[in-house]
Amino acid sequence: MRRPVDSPRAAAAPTARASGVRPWRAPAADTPRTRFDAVARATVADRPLHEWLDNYQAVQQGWHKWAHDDLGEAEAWRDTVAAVRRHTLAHLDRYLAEFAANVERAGGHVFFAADAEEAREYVAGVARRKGVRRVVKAKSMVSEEIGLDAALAATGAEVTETDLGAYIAQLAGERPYHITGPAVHMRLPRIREILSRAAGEELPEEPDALAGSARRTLRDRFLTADLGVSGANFGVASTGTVVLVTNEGNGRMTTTLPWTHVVVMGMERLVPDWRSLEPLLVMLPRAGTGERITSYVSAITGPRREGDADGPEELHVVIVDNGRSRILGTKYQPVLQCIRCGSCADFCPVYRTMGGHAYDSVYTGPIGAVLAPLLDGLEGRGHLPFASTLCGACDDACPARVPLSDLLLELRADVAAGAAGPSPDASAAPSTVPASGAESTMWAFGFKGFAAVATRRRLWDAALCVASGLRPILGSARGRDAGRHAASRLETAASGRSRLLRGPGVVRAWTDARDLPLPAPASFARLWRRRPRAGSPTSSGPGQKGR
Amino acid sequence: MDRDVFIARVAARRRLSAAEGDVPLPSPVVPPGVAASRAEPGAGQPPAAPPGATGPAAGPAGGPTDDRDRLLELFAARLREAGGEAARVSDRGQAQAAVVALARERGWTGVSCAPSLRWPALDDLWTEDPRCADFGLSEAEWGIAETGSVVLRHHGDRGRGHSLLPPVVGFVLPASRVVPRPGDVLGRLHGAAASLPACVTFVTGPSHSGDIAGVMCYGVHGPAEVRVWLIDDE
Repeated sequence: MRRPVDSPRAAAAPTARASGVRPWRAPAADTPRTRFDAVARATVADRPLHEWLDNYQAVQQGWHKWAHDDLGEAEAWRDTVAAVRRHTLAHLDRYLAEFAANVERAGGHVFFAADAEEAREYVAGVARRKGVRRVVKAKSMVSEEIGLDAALAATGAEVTETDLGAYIAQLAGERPYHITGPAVHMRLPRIREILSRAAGEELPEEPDALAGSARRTLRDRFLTADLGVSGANFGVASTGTVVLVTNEGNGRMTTTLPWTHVVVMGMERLVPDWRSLEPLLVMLPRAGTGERITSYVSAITGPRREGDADGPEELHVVIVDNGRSRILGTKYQPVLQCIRCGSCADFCPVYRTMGGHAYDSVYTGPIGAVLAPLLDGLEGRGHLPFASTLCGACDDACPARVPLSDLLLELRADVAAGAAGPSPDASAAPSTVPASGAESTMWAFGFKGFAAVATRRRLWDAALCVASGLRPILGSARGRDAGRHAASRLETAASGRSRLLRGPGVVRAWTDARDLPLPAPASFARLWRRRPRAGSPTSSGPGQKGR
Repeated sequence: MDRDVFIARVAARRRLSAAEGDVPLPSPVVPPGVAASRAEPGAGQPPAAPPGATGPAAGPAGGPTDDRDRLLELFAARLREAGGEAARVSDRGQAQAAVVALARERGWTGVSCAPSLRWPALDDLWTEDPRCADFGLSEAEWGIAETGSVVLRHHGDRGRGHSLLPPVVGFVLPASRVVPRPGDVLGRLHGAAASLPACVTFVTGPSHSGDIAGVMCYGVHGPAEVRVWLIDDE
């Protein structure tokens, strides 16, 4: 049996040491940046986890492609999704007013929360007023974002996540790893351990048996809960309807069984009417889980009506701003087009490599790298936009055409511009960006110097000669470093090309994370000048002049 | 925060980007190819008529009936792919007989459904409380062929629990109420916005999850088995 994998954060230091990866910088202070380094490094070093995430993405990508081929005209559908989202954002104030009025017309209560605290206070107030003792939650990203669980627990209520993945993550005390799959990183032995502990008995290592145990525990919670908290995938403005898209049925339980139902939703989650809901409902499951539709789509308009057999007696809809209006009207507005399918993370090579916990945010993957800095501020999250290769895989995967790599680039520019001045949290600035005035001068000098050399032919040739001359030093140098660290390591491929796996001195800062191909023994220009001429006496090339 | 202040703040912010000009809602809201196929007769007219207003799709020379058969076949195939089962029956009596036979075969002791759907043949098994039933039966409003979904309107005695709490659930669905795409149902709901019940549910196959190590598990919170009886003469 495999050893259970500990949470990346807890395992960070030992794993990094065991694998021989030298930490970039001793994590002196616990800042978002040092946490990012530790978690990302641990994931990179954890080969079984790596293979697991590789496989997870490959499977998801397969289903994603299947679902899009099955639909046909997927690109046109993406256009209409984007158009509906853009239109809604362009008229958001009008649709917010319409939505709220219609929720109230249907008998629901609406609360507008400017920030997380207001939202928490309101929901905790409902729980207190109703004397709530048991809360069941259907997976809601916004409720995670605003830290609702702690606020509800502070009222004395027992809070249970009921999405199977979210339940497992809650039992393990972890943040969600992925927007649609909170526990995608966990393998069977670990899940068995977590659920066995919760059930108080040794469960077999079989998915069906484990799901069955969770079902029994959670069914009891559903039947005895006084308050159900859900998110909202969409809010239909024309009728004040909250639409939930779920697979397990926990969303339906949460919105049917308890006497009170609280919806916590981001203010941008609206659509104008039922017709414009269609492209979103068609594309969300296909992009999210690669299915034609989820098992359940629930459309809730107000609390139960007179004479209804079941449903909650009271419905509260909490519409949360919490930084969203700051994004509105800026170049970052397109990020609000997101419909939270998580497919950007399913295609992102950086997510696959450093894992979901490195984002240290509710929102993971490329959307998290954009949204977390915008919602939480650049100070503590400025490193996230650099956690991207800008390959554009997320752009191609996004059903709502959020231009993720453009936004990441914009954020990098903002971080760099901001870092030129005094930074409130210098240690949080990413290593690839100047953090202090002195470093910034060095950067400017370095780039100017490079430009000077690269734009002058003779200087460039001379530099290449020097680089070739460094080959033996780079390849075998043991220098004064040798005493403290292992020697440089060189790998020569069958083709004869060499790359440095572990460099001496300052070069190691680069080779710790990347390979360094050695400079070629002779530049292409030089080889061209010296190329053999046999068999073509008439040919004349640029080499002629050189001779 | 005060509602007017909240909305005024949003209005002020979004006006900053309004210089780019208005962004119209696409019309039609679905891609052109899909919109064209929907323009075919009988496919997507927003209807407003309550259930039971249309008879079986009878037409000259069997054309529309062939279309109907193809639609029902697609519905059954897609539901099967989603993990459910569909069967065509000629009338409500046959559906009743099928449910009773299944109850005998499985040895069910409790079948829950809305009082209005309480068939005499089920009398000795019937319970109103879906929490302790072996099987829950519901009347579906529409079927969607593309996804194999049934759509339920929960109002009055048509409770939400019958299709959610028992381990096995079933639906009776008039065959004439199967439409091609999800948008056809959304269009109908759009047209009937004034009479929207507190809850409308789309159900597609059994409850499932891949949250345990990526392995598909059925019946995670809701039912593990879903059956649909398509009634030909309704």
